[in-house]
Amino acid sequence: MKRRTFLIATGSLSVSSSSLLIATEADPIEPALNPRFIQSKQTVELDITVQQWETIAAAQAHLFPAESDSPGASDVNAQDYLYAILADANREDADRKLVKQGTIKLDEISQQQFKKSFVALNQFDRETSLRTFEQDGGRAWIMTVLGYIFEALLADPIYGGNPQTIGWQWLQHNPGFPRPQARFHQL
Amino acid sequence: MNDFNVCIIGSGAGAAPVAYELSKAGYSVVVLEKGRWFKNQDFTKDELLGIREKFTPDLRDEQHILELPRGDGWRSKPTLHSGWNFWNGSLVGGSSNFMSGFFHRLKPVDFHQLSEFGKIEGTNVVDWPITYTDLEPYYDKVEKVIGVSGRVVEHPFQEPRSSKDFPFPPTQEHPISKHIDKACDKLGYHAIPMPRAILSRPALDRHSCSYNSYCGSYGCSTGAKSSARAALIDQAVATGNCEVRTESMVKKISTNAQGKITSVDYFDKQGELQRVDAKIYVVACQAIETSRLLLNSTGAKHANGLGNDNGQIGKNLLFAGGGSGSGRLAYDNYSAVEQLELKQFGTFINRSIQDWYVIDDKDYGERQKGGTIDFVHLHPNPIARASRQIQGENGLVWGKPLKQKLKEHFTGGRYIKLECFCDWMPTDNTQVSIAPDLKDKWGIPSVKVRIDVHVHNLQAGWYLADKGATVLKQMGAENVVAFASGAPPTNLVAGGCRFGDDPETSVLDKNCRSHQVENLYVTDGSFMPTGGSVPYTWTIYANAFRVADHLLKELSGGRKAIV
Repeated sequence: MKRRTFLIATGSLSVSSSSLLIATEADPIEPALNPRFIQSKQTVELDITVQQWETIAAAQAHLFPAESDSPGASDVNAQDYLYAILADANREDADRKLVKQGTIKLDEISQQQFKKSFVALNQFDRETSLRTFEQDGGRAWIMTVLGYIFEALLADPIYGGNPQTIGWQWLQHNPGFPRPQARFHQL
Repeated sequence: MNDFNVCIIGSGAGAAPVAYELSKAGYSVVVLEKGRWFKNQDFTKDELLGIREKFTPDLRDEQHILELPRGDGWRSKPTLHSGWNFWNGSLVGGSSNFMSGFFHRLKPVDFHQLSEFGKIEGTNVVDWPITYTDLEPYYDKVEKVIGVSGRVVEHPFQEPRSSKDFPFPPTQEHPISKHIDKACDKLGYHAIPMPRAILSRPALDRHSCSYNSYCGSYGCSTGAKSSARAALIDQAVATGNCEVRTESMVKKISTNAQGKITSVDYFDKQGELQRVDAKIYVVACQAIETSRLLLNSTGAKHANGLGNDNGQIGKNLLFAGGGSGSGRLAYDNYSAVEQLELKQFGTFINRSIQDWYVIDDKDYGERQKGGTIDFVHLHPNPIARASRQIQGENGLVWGKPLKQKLKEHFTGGRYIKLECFCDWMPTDNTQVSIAPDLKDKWGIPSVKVRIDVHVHNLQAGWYLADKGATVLKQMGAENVVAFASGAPPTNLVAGGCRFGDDPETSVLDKNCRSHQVENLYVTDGSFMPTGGSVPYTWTIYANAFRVADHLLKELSGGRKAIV
């Protein structure tokens, strides 16, 4: 599924993803990917459905929730960041497969336990499903998803996450200098 | 007629002093470096540079095989997806670009451990063919030429020095240092300023340190860190006598019927095979890759690898033994002013203790080798720090509890880390051998790296870590943990081509020339038969300067213009 479809279908048009949509229209061949997030010279189209992206976004929000005094996954563009990571052609297919299959598994667990998709669950039941998943082969998926939330939270904003250094400010982190003017793959 | 006087394979701490000295003396030098040439301005404080392994090969293209003990045998696995990586920096200047520059000299006792302490069961400890006195002038030279900052203070294991003090004053110190000094005074320990391979003021055509906390594991953006690139390669190239060929991966060193090296074959950036020849060949690719290249360079006279008739190449590989630990100074326990001090950003702790470099403690056993304790900041890398907070006591931590944990970790106190260094005992069970079935992207066979830890490393590691912990506790640190580790730090590697007087039991003679190949020298850390209880880099630099002096004598009379 094209990224464009995903955006329209989910209606998750934040400021950043609006520009992403524009980038898509301008480039109908490559999978739509906001240049803000691109980490490789080549990207691949992802075999992850709209519903699966919704599950991922819901899991990200549960694993790293927004609070009044601190940023959550959505505040640091964690979903777009993960999309870019997986669309990086330099990534191994195994990484993409891990995320996709784990997402399917999480939804299956939710269906088994609550007869609902993960997205449709309340906070309490989401916690139960994720804990079940953790005990049932899901540790790698959870750690992977959290790991990329941390990158979106704490890597230099040049990579598209950590907007206005929101992550660094929350944790009173001093980033050092000089900060990158180009991304690692552009060196 | 050769293309060059000297061909050096590698451009790191073992290679660069030779390139520097010989090119300055007017000899023509070619340096073959498999990596690219990054400049100061390329080294930004971008954590993803490290996470995405920008400066090391992609393991899908180039990997090693790890062999760890299992039962009575060995369990082999390729490093791809293993969590292990033996690459430390494939670029001009090698891994010295990413060192922390904790610089300690070896002590005189390190040169004659066998005579001093006797045989330790299960180890291959030997005396060195040279003494501290032979190497001291070159330690001194390194201080001045590449730049080492520090301050000499008296302590029980202060080694003899030909210069009274360091040529550069210590780098600026963090207020934690005075807390360590106070605790050590109380305990009767000698806290010493840790020398650093970092310029504390502009000198040697390089800038001073900019004190931004991101030093170890990062390339230096000011040139203050005394990497082989910033301190030596740039200067060697400036002579006009040194040519650095980057993205040049050596396939093989070729020899003639008499066993002498005739040329080096390497793949250039385009993957085309090229050939270069020289009068003298110097190999310095870091220990594992040096052994690999020599073992792969078979010839009519060298069926087992170049200069390997006695089968010693790759044997007695060394890492660094030791332990580590940490403690936290919780901000709540300090006044507002003290909290501001503790939060200071950028300056270094720079404290070491060497009171137990030799342990003479009846409760511990017979007098024996101990090591060095360094006190350092927790590395500031925030993604790495956050990732370590995921593991909880009862499974993974996420949600609001994870966020609270992160907040507390990052803002509740200042961490101090202990890094303890003891000898990695040389044994038959830590070694490099060819892996004929695993080839890299050029089709060159890789190597198996076999690793087992000797119990002595762990004993010494525990002893030192426990001592370090007493300092942290005396300082009032909370959550103090300290432990020995048998896991080899893969960035601290030496051995594999030990030098010695006996051609039967060593690879190199005391000048680091192959016993069997008259125009082959090895100048990285491979030469070390024992490692000492400090990081290796200063000794690698010093020894390479020593060998360069020898080469200057060898070459005198054979000077010629660059071809």
